[in-house]
Amino acid sequence: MKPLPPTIHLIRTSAFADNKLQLCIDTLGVNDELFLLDDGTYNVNHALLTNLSNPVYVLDEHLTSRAVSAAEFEVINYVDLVQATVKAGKVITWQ
Amino acid sequence: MSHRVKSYAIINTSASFDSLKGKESLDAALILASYEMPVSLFFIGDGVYQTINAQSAETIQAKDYIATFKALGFYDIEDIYVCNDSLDARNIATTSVLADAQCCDKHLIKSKLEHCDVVLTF
Amino acid sequence: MAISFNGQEIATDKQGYLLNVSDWNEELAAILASDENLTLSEEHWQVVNFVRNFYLEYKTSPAIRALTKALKAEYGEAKASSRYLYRLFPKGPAKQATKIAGLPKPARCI
Repeated sequence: MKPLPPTIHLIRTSAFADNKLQLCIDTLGVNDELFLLDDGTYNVNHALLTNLSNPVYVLDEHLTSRAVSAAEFEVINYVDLVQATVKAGKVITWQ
Repeated sequence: MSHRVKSYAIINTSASFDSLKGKESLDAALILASYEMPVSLFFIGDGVYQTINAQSAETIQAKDYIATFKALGFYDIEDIYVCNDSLDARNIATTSVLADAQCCDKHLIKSKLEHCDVVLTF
Repeated sequence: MAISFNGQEIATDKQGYLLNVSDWNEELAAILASDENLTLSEEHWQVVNFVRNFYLEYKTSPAIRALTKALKAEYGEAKASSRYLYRLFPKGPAKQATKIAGLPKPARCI
C-alpha cells in the first residue's frame, strides 16, 4: 500500500510572540512537514525546533527580507512551496 | 479519487474575545453543518477559554456567540474535543458550556485530526 | 427602513427584519406577517414563538435544518416536517418565521 502523502503545516508567526508553533508540534504526525513563512521564519532560532525530527523548510524570500539566516534548515522558493502544497495530503495553516 | 463528502476539522486556538476568531470559527462550523458536511470541533491552547461556562459577552458589549454552542446538537455537530493539557496548563476546571464535548489529551486530538480531510484553524 | 407602528418608527433592515429584537411584540408580529401575506393561525404562532425562544436562548436564528431538528425534539415529527413548515410559511420557514418573530435573518439561511 502506498503511504499517505504527508500533512504539511504552514507556520506564519513567531514562536517568540505566540504559541502557534507549540500547538502545531503538539499535534504533529511523524511524517508531517513544517514550512516556515512570514514571521514564522524567525522560528529557525527557536528552541522548539532544535530537537524536532520532522523535515522543516523555510521560504527564502521571507528569510532574506528579515535578514535571518537558516544554516540548519532547507531553504526553498515559492515554486517549491506551491509544489509541496499540491502534493500534500492536506495543508494546515497555523495563523 | 472518490467523491465522498469531505470531513472538516475546525481547530480553535484563540480565546473567546480575542479578535473575532471564535465567532468566525463558529459561523464556519454552522455553515458547513447546514450543508450536511461532517464537522468536528477542536479546542486547544487559548481556544479552551471559549468552552468555559458562565461567560457573559454582554458585559463587554460583545456578541454572545458562546450561547450558540449549546445549539450545536441541532446542527448535528457532536464531535467536539477539548484539550486536557491546555485546560490543565491554564488551571481551568472542566465545567464546559459544550454538553457534547469530550476532554482528551493531545495524542487523541492528533489521531482524530488525522481522520479529517480538511483542517481549518482559527 | 422602518415600519410605522402605534405612532412609532420601528427600524428594520432592507428586507424588513427588525434591527432590534426588543422592539418586537405580538401586535407587531401580526403586521410583519401581513407584509408576508400571512394571517397567523395557532400553528404559525407555535413556530414563531418557538423560533423566538430559540434565539433568546442560543443567540442565533436557526437555519432550516436546525429548526426542524429542534422542533422535532419539542413537538414531535408531525409538527417538524419540512412539508408542514412550508405549508405554514411558503417562502421558507426559517426566513419567514424569524422575520415575524422579530429576529435577524438567519445568516446561513435557505
